[in-house]
Amino acid sequence: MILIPIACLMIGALIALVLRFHADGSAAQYFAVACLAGLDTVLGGIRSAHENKFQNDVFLTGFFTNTIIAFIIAWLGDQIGINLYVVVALVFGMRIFNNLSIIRRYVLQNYIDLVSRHKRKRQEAEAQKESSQTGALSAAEGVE
Amino acid sequence: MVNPFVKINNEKWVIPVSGLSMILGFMFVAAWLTNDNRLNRLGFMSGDQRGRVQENVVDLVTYQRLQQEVDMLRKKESNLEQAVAHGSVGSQALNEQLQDAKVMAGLTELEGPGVKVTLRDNTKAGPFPKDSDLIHDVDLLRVTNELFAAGAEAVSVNGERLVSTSSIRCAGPTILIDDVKVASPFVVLAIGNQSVLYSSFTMNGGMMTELASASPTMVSISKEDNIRIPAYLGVTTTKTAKVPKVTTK
Repeated sequence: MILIPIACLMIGALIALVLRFHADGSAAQYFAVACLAGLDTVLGGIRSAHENKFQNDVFLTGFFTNTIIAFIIAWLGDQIGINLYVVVALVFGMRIFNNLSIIRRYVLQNYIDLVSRHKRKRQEAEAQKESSQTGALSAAEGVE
Repeated sequence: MVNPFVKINNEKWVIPVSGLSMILGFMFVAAWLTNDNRLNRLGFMSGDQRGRVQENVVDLVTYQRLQQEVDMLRKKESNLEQAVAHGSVGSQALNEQLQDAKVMAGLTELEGPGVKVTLRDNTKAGPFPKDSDLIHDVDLLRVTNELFAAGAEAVSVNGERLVSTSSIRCAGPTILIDDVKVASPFVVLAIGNQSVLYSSFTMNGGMMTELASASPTMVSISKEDNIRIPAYLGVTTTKTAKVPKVTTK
């Protein structure tokens, strides 16, 4: 399931490569910061999906406002002479790590659950087999 | 086999996350540093990042190895041309013309009398040098321009020969001469009429006084009796320009 967004990421990258779309100069710097915001929101979406509280509207507005605000803060910082893009990079960098670690926990937990479920199923099946065998035996005895 | 699309529709997050992932991928590529936009973005980066990015501009070792190869091949070419010229009088005359053209184009090593101009950043400027304490690309441009104007027949900067397509431009803490990085001190060699070159450079209000405004140690000029200037080792093939078949009058 997680592979579909990754595949789409590649498709988007390919489209940009095919169209030869490149930002230049200072705009590209702001764009790079906006990329971080976008990455954070996408990871946040995956995380909330794992928490079963994913909401379409929250996610979509979050993506666009975050990227635009990141862009504007970076631009504003240059207008007033402070390196505000560092702040954006720091905050979103932290959030990206945060989201990633939480996603990792969920994925790990899912995997462990899956393994233990398989194990339990197998044990149950074996137990059933045994009981049915003994049941058959006792039934045969009864007939005799 | 389970139909994967059923699963996508069941989990409502997949479609929006995938859609925006696509936009994100697009944005990352748009913000990626490429050879086309690297130069106009260098100015927006801080020092250490700029250094890391710039290292990718030219693979210096490969570049130097290729330069040596070019040098060797050019020498071989000249030898061949001379060998051909031994054949007949006509081809000899042609070869002379060819050699003259090559001298003019800067494809041969040259030697002769001239001047040596040394430019260096002001070493006593302290930790925060002013603009006038540093040698800039513009200073180098003006120095070489001045030397050409005074009749220099060949000019090189730190061993890089200047030809008609040469460029000098700033690249962070270094200066690029035809994509080769050079740094202070800059040794500019010029072959030409020694006294003319010398006096035009040192005249009152000339380049010398202008450049040495922060410290007289920044510029020095000396007459040299025998200067060797290397051949141009850059690219000489043209991609767009063509010689017209019919010459217009």
